[in-house]
Amino acid sequence: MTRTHRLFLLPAVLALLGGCGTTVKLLPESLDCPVLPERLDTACAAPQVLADGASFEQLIRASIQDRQALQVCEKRRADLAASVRICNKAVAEHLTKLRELNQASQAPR
Amino acid sequence: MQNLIYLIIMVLAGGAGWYGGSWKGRDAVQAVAKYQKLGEEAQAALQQAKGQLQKDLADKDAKFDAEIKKLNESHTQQIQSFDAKIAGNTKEIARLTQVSAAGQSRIAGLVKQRDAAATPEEKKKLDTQIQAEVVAQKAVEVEIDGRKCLPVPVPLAVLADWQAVKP
Repeated sequence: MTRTHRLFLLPAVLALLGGCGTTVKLLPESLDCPVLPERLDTACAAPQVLADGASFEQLIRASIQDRQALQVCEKRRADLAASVRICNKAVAEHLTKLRELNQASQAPR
Repeated sequence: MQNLIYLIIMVLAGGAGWYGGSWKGRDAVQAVAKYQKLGEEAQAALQQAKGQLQKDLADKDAKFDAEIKKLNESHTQQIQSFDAKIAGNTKEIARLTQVSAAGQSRIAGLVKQRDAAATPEEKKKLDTQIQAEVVAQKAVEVEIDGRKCLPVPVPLAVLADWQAVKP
């Protein structure tokens, strides 16, 4: 076997040796909070605009629209708050589980 | 003979080295196995947490969508009801005006009866009826006045306060 042959053989041997090794995933990926982007990007509707000369009927109609918008806006706020609460709870529970696993693995054999 | 002793010593030394090395190696293998198991358990815990989180968020999303749908339906009904009232406003004012005229006649008739009442008891009874009619009449008049106001422009000074908060 010539020196050149041996040089070519080296990567193959290293690759084979690499296959013998054990890969340990020490840091698993973290838990994310998968809130839909469209829910994060939705803004509250702007209040209605009334020009000078608007009638009482238009004023009442605008008030009805604004009340509806306010209710929807509050629902969206509450929904996002609920999402954060759910995610926080999931992260806390997951951390507790990881700590338990860590503790169990640290226990003397 | 001396060479044989050297050979035996070398073999023993080699054996001792092999044993010592394998002992240390065993610790390393056990450590790797431990961390591998820990990693797998952590990965499984992560998948479980992700699954639960997605379910919880999906449940919440479904509840939210249902609430928004209900709110939108209620709003549509509200606007339809309002539109119907506005569309029939003139007719309703005419109807209420007739109701008001009838009420006025009733009150006038009751007042006449009361003034002609023979006993204080009858007078008192008619007074009570008149008071009830007056209250009902007032409610009808308020309704007529309010409906007449709907197409009227809001006074500018009042509207200015409403417009003060700009979007």
